[in-house]
Amino acid sequence: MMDAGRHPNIRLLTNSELVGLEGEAGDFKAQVRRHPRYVSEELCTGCGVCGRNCPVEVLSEFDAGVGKRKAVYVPFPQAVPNIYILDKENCTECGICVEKCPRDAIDLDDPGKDLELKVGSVIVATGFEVFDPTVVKAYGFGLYDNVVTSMQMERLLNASGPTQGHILRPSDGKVPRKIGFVQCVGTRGEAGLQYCSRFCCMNSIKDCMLVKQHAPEIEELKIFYIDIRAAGKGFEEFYQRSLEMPELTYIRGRPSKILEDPQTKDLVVQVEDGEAGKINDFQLDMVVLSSGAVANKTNQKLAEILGIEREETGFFTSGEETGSPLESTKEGIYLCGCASGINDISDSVAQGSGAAAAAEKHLAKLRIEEKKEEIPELDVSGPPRIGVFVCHCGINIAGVLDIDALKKYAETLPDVVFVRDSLFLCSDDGQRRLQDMIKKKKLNRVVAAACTPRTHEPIFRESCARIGLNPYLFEMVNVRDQCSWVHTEEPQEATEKAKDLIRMGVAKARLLEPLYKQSIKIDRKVLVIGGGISGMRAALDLDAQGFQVTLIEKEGKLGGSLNDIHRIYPQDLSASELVETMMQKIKNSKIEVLTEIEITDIKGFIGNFEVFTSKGGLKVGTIVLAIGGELYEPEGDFGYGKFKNVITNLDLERMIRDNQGDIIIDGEKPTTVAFIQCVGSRDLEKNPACSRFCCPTTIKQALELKKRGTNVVVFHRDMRTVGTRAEEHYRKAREMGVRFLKYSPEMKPQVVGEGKASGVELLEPALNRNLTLPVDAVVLACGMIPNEVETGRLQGILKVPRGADGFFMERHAKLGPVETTVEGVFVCGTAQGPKDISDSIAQGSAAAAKVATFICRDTIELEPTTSIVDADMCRGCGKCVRVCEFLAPKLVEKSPGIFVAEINQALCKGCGTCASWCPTGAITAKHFTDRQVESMIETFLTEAV
Amino acid sequence: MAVPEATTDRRGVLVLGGGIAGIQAALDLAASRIPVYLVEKSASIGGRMAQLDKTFPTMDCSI
Amino acid sequence: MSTKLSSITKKKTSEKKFTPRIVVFACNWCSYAGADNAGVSRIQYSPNFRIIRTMCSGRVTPGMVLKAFKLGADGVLVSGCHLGDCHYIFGNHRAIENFERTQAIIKTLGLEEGRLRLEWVSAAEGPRFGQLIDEFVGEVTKLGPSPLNNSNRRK
Repeated sequence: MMDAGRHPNIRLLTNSELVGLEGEAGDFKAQVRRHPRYVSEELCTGCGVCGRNCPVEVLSEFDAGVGKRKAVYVPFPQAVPNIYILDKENCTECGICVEKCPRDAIDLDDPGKDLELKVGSVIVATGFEVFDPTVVKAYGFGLYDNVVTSMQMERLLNASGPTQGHILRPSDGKVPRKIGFVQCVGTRGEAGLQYCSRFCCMNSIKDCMLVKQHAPEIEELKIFYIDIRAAGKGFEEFYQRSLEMPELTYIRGRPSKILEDPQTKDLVVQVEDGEAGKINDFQLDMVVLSSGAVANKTNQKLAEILGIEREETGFFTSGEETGSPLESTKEGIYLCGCASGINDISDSVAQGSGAAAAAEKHLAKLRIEEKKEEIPELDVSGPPRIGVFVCHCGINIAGVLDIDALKKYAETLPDVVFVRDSLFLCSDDGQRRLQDMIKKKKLNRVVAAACTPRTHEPIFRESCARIGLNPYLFEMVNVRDQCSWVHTEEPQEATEKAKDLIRMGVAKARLLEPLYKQSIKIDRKVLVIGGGISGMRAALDLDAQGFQVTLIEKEGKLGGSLNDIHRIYPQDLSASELVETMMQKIKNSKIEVLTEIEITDIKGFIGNFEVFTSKGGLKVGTIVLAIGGELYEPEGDFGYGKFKNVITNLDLERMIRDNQGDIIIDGEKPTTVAFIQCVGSRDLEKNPACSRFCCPTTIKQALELKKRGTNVVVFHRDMRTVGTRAEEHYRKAREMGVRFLKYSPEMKPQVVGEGKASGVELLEPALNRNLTLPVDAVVLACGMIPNEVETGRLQGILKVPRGADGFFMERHAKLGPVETTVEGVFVCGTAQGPKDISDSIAQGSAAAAKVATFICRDTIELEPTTSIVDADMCRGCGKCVRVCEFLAPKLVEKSPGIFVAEINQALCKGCGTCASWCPTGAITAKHFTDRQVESMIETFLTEAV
Repeated sequence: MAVPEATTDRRGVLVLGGGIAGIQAALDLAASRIPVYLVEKSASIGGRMAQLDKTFPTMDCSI
Repeated sequence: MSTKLSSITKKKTSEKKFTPRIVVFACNWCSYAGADNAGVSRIQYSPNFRIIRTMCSGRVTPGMVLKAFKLGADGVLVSGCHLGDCHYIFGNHRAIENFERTQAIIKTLGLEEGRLRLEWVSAAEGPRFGQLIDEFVGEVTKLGPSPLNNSNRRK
């Protein structure tokens, strides 16, 4: 978020709206209306004087109405840009702010502005709105004080929210002991919305865990649900962990009514127990309504302006039907996030990147020429002049630590010439002042006592670099995440600790040295490994931007698992047609396709990979892993292998693909077919993950069988029909008479029969007896597992790590779904985890966008925090060579028989392990040198406050 | 009356919405040397995710 | 000051008692992130330690650990990614080897083995990080002041 506000290629137009669009893809003209802000963006520094003096208080939208704000305000503390806005509706025009503003930035007559922009393409990422639960009258939202929405709960849980993270009951401000979460409010058939909004189940589970952390005295947590839809990478495992919480119980059923005791304001949730035929009452202190997501009301107007179509649900129509989930109905306009339907965060991020790849092709020839800004470097020679900046982080730090004491203490430290505090040091304003002070006070080392370097060091470093201070002369001291937040109850000890940490930071800062980035040439060619749907998509998107791509596939033909699929759910799209269309596009492109090829080895590093294959070698700069996953082989499960009429969902898929008429299983047309869900998935022993696509696949296949006159029974644990129209198809299947029976993992259904499967036996919990359903065939819905051979091999060759589930691990579960920890290597599709076709396509596009960020230049810059060898001190023992996994150090023969180690700076990852093993001290781990680390130890232990 | 501003010359991508998807798209485009106009109707970018305390399943802080 | 966030009872500060000084080395990718995670989750734990960040647990040399003990540290904790999760693949395996070498030396110096520990904490294990620190602080407190901690302390 901060990055978007700072990037020179991004122009932020907040408080603005698109009012018109003309032209066509590649050459649009967009009219943008900048609504009056009444506070000048150029003049406002975000100092907050206006807000403090404003006499008007209204409910804050950001805090979902549970907190307050002024009429002139910033929406939330870390807002980007950190500039105030005046809310004319609530403003009394008293004029106090105008008068108080030190920079005369407020103009109550601001007329706003109209802009006309030349754009090549448009990305629609307008998000969703939360369903208004007042519509569901039976739940009493708006009438009962203690019924809140999940967004309100989110703000109550947030440490920077209106209650500082204390969960307090709205009616009396007391900590609730019993909280209930009602799922599917507004969605899945309620209030006219058919679909499932995908993220609410996980959100409630997360909230329960957070409630437990924030209020350990909580006695009861209840989640009222229909199906728990933990369908996403790592989600099922998260759900399983929640089952270990003794306070949390899951209650199946949609509450019919919530009642309030008018005196105590306590609540009663009534849930019908369908099987026992009675209504159960649950006494609770507070109820959270898990409101679903709905399309923005403004979508209709926006659709008219853009000239694109919408669905009945209000979301924009995407090309999902034709295998292009990110395309709108108009060329040059792309959809991502929740524009075309509901997505969770990581899918939204992948779609955002994917839409970027699509949008880029209209502008690939118009990339910005980058002039390296020559910023004169500040002179840092001479003794250290250290500036210490202490951040309040609002009350996050200042609420616990004694900032004045820290400042006074810092002033006493050696070489510290300047100390200052700041409300938010990371804000635009805070950074600007930091820069001013560096220049004014001639600082040559900077220490910030603030949050964590893991998120904020890059921001500070860049601010230093922009004014010519070498960014490696900056040191960060973590007094928030590792101090004020974790020693909240011991403010004195915490302040003492912060003093020590600042002293240690200053000690290191005194020894910091300027470091310089090297750049290396990069090869712009791309290798995509795997010719399935996501690999093809990645290759096509890169080709459309004019990059040279080689697509390799180990089988004889492109298409991957699509070749086994008949029609793609939830649309009625033929898989073979999709493969055919994409193959045709590839044929018409410049993509080099190599089939029946195997990779034997890959050497090198980002920008310079050398790939060895069974058909010769090639050189590329970046690699996309799109090797796909595999379906679980259910050998021995549920009679598979023993009975010929027990088949997998893939077997059935092939039959449906090859057969327009009756489906014949084991020589007969079955009258009744049973599906068993979660075979080889959601299984703590075999594979704890949920594969996400099997439930919708079963629905699709059940509908196919039903059309052919076959009875269908589905044995499931939760029907997880997430994704576009999947829930609607689930409803249709029920209406058509498909039976759904729930089973628990402890009581799995048994396939019984002699010679062939003739029935499925299941314990009927309400009757507590076994029920046997006669069937003619059983279909096992097998989950997805990693392609063990290929994944393992590429992990060995490229060092891309794999997660606990065996799939390639992404750099960040939410924010980096297609990147890996190995620079220049990306992952997409089912190589990263089980997913459906649309999500695989979106990830393919996302990988293309990420590749483009590298290969749109000829060179890349290398991090200078690597290790280097002092050749004079090296005696060539080779220990460094042995401990490095990245093959960076090499022994080089300097003169006959004399070997000296050299470290390839492009391969070195900067872990510093070689330095710790070097017996002669010849290796220096830059920025973490022995002397720097030891000086921190020394000052901590010998110079106690 | 609105004051018209001179047309901006560089042709770029118009990103509508400054939530997590829009920000991601903008960042990737910008990193690929494509100019971006990021239009957000509210006063700050960040969208829904900025409102969240933590995100599942890793419980990361969301900003 | 914000009010209490957790049920952990407030430690008594009135009586003078031994508060150990502990150096914690944390790798950037997992353990340091785990300590951040403890913060984000507002886990409350003992403040009697100071973290030094290195990129990898494999970076921590026996010399650094011994320096800490020589200067009077009552305990040293080296923490890295779980085995198999190292950002640098086997850096934490190197940390084990370094740890074993160091452990052998501190024994000959007459220090108790329990004063030096090697632990794995992932980026998501905030609560575990807090627990681990509390536990280690408790253990070192039981062991009492390090026999080497005397002259170097000003007070």
